[in-house]
Amino acid sequence: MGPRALTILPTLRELEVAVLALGALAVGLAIVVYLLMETRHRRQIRRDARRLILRSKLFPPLAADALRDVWKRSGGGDKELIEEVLVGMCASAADELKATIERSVVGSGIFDRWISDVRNGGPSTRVRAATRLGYVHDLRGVFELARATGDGSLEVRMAAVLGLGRLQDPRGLLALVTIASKPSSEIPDFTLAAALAGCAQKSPGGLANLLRARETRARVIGTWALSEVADRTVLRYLLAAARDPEPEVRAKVARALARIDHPQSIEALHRMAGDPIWFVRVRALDALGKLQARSEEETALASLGDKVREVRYRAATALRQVGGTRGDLVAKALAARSRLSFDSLISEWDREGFLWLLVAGLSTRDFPSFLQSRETLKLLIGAGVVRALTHLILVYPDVKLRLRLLRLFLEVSSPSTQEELIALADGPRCDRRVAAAIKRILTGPDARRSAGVNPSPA
Amino acid sequence: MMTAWRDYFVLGIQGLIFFYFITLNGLYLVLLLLSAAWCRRYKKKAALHPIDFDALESLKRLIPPVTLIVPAYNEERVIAQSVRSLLGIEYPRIQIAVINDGSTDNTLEELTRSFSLRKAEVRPSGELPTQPIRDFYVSVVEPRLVVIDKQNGGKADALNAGINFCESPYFLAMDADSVVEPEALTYAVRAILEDPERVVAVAGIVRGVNGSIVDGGRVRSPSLQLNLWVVMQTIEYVRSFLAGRAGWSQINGLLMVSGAFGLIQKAACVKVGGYSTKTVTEDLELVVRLHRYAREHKLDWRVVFAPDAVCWTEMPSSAAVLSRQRKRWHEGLWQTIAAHRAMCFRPRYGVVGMLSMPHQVIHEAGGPFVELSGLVLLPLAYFLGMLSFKAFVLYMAFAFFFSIVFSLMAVLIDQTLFPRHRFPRDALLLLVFALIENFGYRQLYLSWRLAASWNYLFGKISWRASTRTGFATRA
Repeated sequence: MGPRALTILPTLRELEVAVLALGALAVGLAIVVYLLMETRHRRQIRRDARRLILRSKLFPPLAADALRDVWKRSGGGDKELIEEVLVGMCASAADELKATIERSVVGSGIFDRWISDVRNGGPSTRVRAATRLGYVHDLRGVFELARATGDGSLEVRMAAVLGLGRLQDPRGLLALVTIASKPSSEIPDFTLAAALAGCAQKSPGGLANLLRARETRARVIGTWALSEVADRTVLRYLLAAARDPEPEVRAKVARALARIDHPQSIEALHRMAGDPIWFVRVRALDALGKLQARSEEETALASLGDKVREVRYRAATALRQVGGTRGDLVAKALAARSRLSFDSLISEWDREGFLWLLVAGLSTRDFPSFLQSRETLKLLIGAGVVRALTHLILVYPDVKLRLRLLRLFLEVSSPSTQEELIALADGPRCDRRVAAAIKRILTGPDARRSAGVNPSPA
Repeated sequence: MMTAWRDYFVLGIQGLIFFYFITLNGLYLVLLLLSAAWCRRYKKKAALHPIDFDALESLKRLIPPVTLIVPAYNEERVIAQSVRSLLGIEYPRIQIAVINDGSTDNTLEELTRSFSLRKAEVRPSGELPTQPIRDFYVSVVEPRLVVIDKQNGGKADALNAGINFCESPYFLAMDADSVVEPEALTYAVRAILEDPERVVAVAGIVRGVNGSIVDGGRVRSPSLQLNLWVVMQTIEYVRSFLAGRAGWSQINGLLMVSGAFGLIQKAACVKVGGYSTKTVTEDLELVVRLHRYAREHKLDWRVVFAPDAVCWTEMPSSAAVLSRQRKRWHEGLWQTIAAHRAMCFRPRYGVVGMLSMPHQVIHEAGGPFVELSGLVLLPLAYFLGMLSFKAFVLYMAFAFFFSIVFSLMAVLIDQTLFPRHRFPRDALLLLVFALIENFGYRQLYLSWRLAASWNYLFGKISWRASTRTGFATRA
């Protein structure tokens, strides 16, 4: 005897009831879900409408007494909306108007309420108060936010950090430096760096301590912030940090040095362009380009031969920023370096329109420029840079310059390129004058004569 | 003797179905609870997000640059609109690389016409092997846009070509027929910046654009198209993203970063070898490979989900196109499972090895067979007098009931925390269809998955392109 198959005890009637109950439960649940959605939707609409009404009441900004009156007569929900409207106005208003709103918020007592909330409120109240304090500039608010950076709740700390960064008051710097110096504060490094940069805008020297910190994280954050605000006052700290064992720090130092046009920073960047870590080299070349350090042209040219693509491309960009897209640099890259260097140079420069500008230089209005463009183009065609140039024969707006470019092609190019040009002339997109010129020169009697073929009598 | 064996067999099948039913619904319930709690927390936290550009101006300059890689194969109808939407993204440091993967229509001409492209002498190079690059174009009017024209090699190959070109630390893999919300990339990058050391991939949420008005590259008036297939898919998407992936993300078991919107760390992607051209669902396979590589090399990598990083995409609006898409997905699932079967039930692979992959094997790949055996064998057992009719009906009733509950909860999370659709019309449509999707649509979907399993096990797998109708725009 085998095992018994699964049997269920309920009767058919009970089963009917069970299935019906499940169905009804499902439909009931759907109705509940709908009602919940509708409630939320209605609440949102009511809130939006109320916010619009309050905004029209509060703008143009009320005097402190009037604002206090409106505030006192409002219910709890409206008070929250009034705060939102005031904060929104502060965030978007121009400086003068913002100062008026700030005065009235501080004078009306609303600001005091926020300070009290951020000290004594529950977690969500503290977050709300800290966020709002970060929009209205007042010294008491800065100190309160600085205190709140040590709050037990991560959300409050986050709001305080963002608020201090937004207020850009140097007096908030110390609190932010303290957080950044901790091994882990749960605040993203990126946010902390941006807030530090905000507060240190006028006095970047306040960040110097971070550069000397033992914690790598602190040094990374410090240099990151300095990459936004560094000036000569922090040069010596940056020069010391340029030898930091942590590559991330060195890369950020390079970014910061890009802001300081000084022989010492160029010297440090020159050294960093030979750093063993590729992204430090990238940053250093980037900085040299931004500083337009003419003395570093050779450094950038040498970096064109780097084994890492990003470094080669950044070197090409730096060369362009340093000395402009000059033909002699192209010739140098072609003559002295590997083909890879030359390709990287042309590749990066052409993204910025190098070849386009060269063709534009074929206009005879400026003769020296014409000669330089002509020679560079001949060099490039000879070196096989034909893909983009043949396309320019098709699409360059000035037909006269297209024909000049074509003439250069015929002077320099190889038989395979000439075949490509004939195919181009047969294509539907080729201008009829350009097509006629190609055919006349490459397949006409002159061409055949030069190839040793007798022209037909016709 | 025969009767005993028959009884054992039927009891075994019943046990298998019961096991499947309990584990599937148990897992879904846990994921739903995790998702609901996390989505609430996320929504609350979002108000204080660490890259609030309005709050801190300097953030704009400190954020990492991102390259948007857009593979395009015969997308002439939507490509210009898509690129315009990408150019409207509110992210200060983006580069857009459209990869024309050997299109046979006028995709390249459409791009050239819309963005004044010119051929450039740029030679993308990189470590990932791809089909030959034919040409490289830059836009005369939009410096952020580049177009790489290459020989056809499939979406994975096109993405690899884009990665080779990419110079930024992160890239966004996406579909050419997608419209990305302006803030979507910011939200996705936020997930990385909160934990830059560990997060290597961020999955966005995909929504159906059918029925909505797209204007100037933006979805201006989101609305649900009154089409059975579209509404059913919308429910599926909402359930999959907001009641599934949000939960998987919590336990670092997320295996799916949709190809329509996935932000990925370039270095990690290159390290694992880029996208595989040997599977038809390269997005799924890449993420599984990322997890595998991380566990094998003891790296603490995380793949996370950002529910407010929204990407709108055109959903198939006919059964024929939908079945093609779903079969492709299921075949890709089989390929991925086969390629990474060594990860299953191996504690070394953590949550992925012990939960995510087994879930894919048992419930996703094996599910159709279990469901089929349920649909065939249970009635058979009933007719043979071996199964109570009541048991069968009760089983089906509970199965449908749980399915409805999950759908309703997902719709609730969607409509209350991340509302995008029109209220009340779209909400009502979703609720009504959530009640009826189990009667017909599920069974049809089951048949597609079975056909795909058959194709994988005995037939030939090929890419099945979807037919695009283009976006609805204002007249």
